[in-house]
Amino acid sequence: MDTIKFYLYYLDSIFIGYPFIIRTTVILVMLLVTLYVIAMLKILITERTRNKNLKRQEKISETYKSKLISVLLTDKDMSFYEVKDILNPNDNAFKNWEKKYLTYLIVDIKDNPALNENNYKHVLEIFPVTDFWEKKIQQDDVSENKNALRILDQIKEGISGSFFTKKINSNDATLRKHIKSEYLKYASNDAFKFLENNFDKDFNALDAVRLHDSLKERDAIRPLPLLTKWLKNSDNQDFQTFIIREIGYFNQREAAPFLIQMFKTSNSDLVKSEISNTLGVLNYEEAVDELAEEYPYNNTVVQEAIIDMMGKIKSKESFEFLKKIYPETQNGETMIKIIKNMYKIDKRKTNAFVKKFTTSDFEKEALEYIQNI
Amino acid sequence: MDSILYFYQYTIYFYSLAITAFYLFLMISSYFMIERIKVRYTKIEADLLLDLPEIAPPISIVAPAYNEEVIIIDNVNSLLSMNYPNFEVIIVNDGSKDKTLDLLIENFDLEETAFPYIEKVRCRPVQRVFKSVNPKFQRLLVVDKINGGTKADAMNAGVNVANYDYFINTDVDCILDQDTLTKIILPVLDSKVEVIAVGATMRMSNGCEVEHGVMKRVSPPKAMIPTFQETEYLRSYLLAKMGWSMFNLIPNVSGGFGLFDKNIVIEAGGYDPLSHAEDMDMTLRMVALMRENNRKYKIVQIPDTLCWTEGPPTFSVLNRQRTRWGRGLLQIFVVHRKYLFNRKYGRMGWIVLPYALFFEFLAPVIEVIGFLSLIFLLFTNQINFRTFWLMLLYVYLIGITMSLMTISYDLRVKKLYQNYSEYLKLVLFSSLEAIIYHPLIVFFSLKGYWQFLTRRNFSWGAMTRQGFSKQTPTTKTV
Repeated sequence: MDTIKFYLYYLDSIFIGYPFIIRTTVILVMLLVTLYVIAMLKILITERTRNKNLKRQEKISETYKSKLISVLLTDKDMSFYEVKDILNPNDNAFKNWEKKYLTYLIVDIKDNPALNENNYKHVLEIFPVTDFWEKKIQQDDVSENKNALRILDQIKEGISGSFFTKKINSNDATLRKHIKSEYLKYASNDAFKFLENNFDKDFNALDAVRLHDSLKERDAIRPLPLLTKWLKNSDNQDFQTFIIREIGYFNQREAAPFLIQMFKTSNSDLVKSEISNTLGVLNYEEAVDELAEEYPYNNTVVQEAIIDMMGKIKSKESFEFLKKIYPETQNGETMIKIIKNMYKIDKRKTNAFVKKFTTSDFEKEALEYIQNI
Repeated sequence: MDSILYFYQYTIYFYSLAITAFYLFLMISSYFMIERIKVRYTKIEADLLLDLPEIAPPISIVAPAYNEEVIIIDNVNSLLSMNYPNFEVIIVNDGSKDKTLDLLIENFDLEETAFPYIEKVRCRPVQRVFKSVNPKFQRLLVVDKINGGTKADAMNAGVNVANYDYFINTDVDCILDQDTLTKIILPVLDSKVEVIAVGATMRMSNGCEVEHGVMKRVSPPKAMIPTFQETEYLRSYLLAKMGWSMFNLIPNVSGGFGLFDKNIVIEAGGYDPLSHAEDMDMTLRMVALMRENNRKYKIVQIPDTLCWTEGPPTFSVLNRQRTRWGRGLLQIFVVHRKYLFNRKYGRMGWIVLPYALFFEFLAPVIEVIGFLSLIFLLFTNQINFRTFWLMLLYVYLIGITMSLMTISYDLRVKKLYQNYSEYLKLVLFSSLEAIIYHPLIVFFSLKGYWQFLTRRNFSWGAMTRQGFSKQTPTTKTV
């Protein structure tokens, strides 16, 4: 020990004796060499881990794949014990990695349209995979939580809103929002509670995609309540736009009068455009006169949405409205939009109208282009 | 003379210290960014967009083509095979003199169609627009325009005809991953702040197996120059841009591949046909527009490899590419000098451009002066060899450590090569880069600066295409 100390002090005294520049460089060289070694080790460890995982996956696949296929992709509804006999799971407790790769395998087979739901339930009772992923959601590792959330959404069977409640107020915005949209999908009680108060303060378009997916799944089981309820309480225009679009998607025509009122009171071009689109999707003819009156007082983006709405509604009044606004339109893109929507309503009349009123090559090209779409 | 040399040596030393500090900083921030994005966006999120076409935002893919008969068919097939519900492909034939347009018409059953063309950004006149009569190619639109001499001019024509709010700017020598559109649009959706551009990792297609425009096997290039460039690209995307993205400081979304907000591009005046670095120029002008109007914005970089481009196979092609980049970089500082150290332009004025000026533009100049002074010191016996080797080791280690770290990051993102021996090839080449490849880059960059200053060779460097498919013959399309 003393010898080591001696040499350490010796090297230290030599090092201290060098100029500042040399000392700094030596430290930097040592740092860079360390980083080089770390990077090399990282590459080797990544390779080793990947190979190990691949082998584990293959092992699970070899043991269970054919058995799971025979159980999950059959027409025959089996009893719990029949399924258990076929799968013949090891009586010892499964290791965590076994549960993980078993889940991946089950989820992969489950995606087949020939899935036997009855047997699938038994498989999930026999293999403790749902509990495994539920525990992962409760852990303090956000990346594990997110991964578990995705897996549980793929498992689907036996998942309930209570799985997610512990992490529903997470400080991590992406996790919190993802959990809220899953809660909406799986909760059996008060599932829509997060749609009140704008869903989340960090609501964005990806949350809209997830929420749309959740709403679609709920609607497939039982028709959704009128979505205007959450529109009334919202002050976030992105969230309002999302709800308005969903009203159109789920064809909630009862919401149309409320949307017209909202159009008149809203100051947001985004909201007004979405209302116009949705009224068109809902084919709400009463909106034609109301929005035609509002047309001159709105920005181009809203005007173009109103023009699209007229084309979707396809009424005589909407055609007349488009005819009326066409001569006073200066914007090239709006002009194309008007011709396109008139053409949707009445091809013959549009041809005659455009040929009569147009003088520029641009308008003729626009008509020809629309005819060729 | 001695005091000048003494001063210079100290300046260079602290300059290299600053570079090391920046690299270490970028290395750490890029690590966290890669981990964050890996957790945030997975195949599940991408598949969600495929399952919900009614909510997936539509995207235009714009690819200009000038004399690209060798690769045009493979490329268009590649673009049409994207795995995404809502997109269109716009090929801008920039007055090609070869059979590019004929091949497109023949292979994709194109017919001239009426098109109400609106010039939102300036470009040379569009003559004809073609659409396919075959429903299989209904997403394809071919624009035939008078040659404008630059990619920027052709891109502007593409922007003018693009139907959707976001567009991909790519080249016809690029092969895109089939999941490109889902992966590139996710960061746009997942942001409350307006995302004006998104970049992704690009690498070399030389050496990869491509079948009917679809990437079948990813391998490192076989030739020397593209192999060096593979590591260089990975370092630029995975280390530098990923690192800068943590602080919204990405200086440049590549002209080879990037997603852009069409309305912001139009508001900023479109691509500048006079620019030799139209991608960086466009990015800077978009940022300037947002800053001038006090609008919040974000430029995002994702670590996934979404685009493979043909790397320069020979020294002469590398020369053309790098002298153009050199001219472009100098032009950026001349044209956009008002942004530099200007408080109005925030981070761009105080960090992005000063970094590019000191550590990218000036680096080749400093390196050459350093090399010349080294020779002088050698001949005048003024070199202390005890410290010389230490300094050389230090400089060498900066490069190879960053390269190796990048390769480890690349493996972490996704193992694209089949064998680890292929990664080993990259490691080996990265250890030789400082000796073989880097001096060439320094020389070509300085040549580019000289050309800009003397106003020589301002025509665009043409690329010699080799084609993706094995059976495709090599044709020079200059």
